[in-house]
Amino acid sequence: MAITFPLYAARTLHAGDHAGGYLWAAIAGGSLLGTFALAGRPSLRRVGISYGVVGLTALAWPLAHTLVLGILLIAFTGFVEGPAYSGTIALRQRHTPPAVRAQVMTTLNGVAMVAFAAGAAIGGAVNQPLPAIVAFAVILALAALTAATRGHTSPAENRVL
Amino acid sequence: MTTRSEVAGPALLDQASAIEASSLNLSLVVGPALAGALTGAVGAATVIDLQAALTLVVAALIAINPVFEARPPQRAKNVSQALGDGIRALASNRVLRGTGAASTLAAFGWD
Repeated sequence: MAITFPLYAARTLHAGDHAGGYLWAAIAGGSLLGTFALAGRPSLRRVGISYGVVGLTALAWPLAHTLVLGILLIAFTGFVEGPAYSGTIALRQRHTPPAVRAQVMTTLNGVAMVAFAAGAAIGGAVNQPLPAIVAFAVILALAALTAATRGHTSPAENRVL
Repeated sequence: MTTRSEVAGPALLDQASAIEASSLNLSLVVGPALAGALTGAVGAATVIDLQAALTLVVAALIAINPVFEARPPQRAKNVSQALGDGIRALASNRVLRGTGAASTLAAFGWD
């Protein structure tokens, strides 16, 4: 989306590529609200459902042809992403042994940085908003399956370490 | 991120995680707007200098804050041991594997 948001803003919303910044703000603002409005007990299944809904809502983005509608749709995507974001943070804290917490967090953040860079590189190669948004939805569906197929987090597994 | 559990404690961990997620999101909303306003007022080069100075201030605040010493006494001897410990812990826990794989895919999709 670092590549796709400016393209989407310019080519689909006809708002200029600088409007990509508004779209990031819309995602963050929506996620901020969603974190509290959709608060609940963190679980893998809940994280998976959240990712799945994020992917589905992204499929509506190409239907918008004005900046205001685009911002509203993307803010809604951010809203439903709230439980995935805060839930992932909480589950990691709960399940990481204290003795290796720094090592685990550093490893995960390192992997995430590589994933960000790879995603941006591929987004640049695609260079078209619609295929990139469809690819985003597919990748989020895979993330949803990855999390949800791990099933429920049992009370024993959900203990605080 | 690493010290959150020690600081918040088990009872407040979920709330602390929600606040952390919110603070990161809030910075994404406020940061670019503030940067844009400052760039318009004083120019991009000055704003980059300001960003660098702010980063140094944050690093200093972390360095002098005793909260960030709230860590277990067991520490890795070197980088390879730290990496090995981290990967072993990730591989041995189903929830960590699940959240790790899902969030990596999401990070790939988001950028």
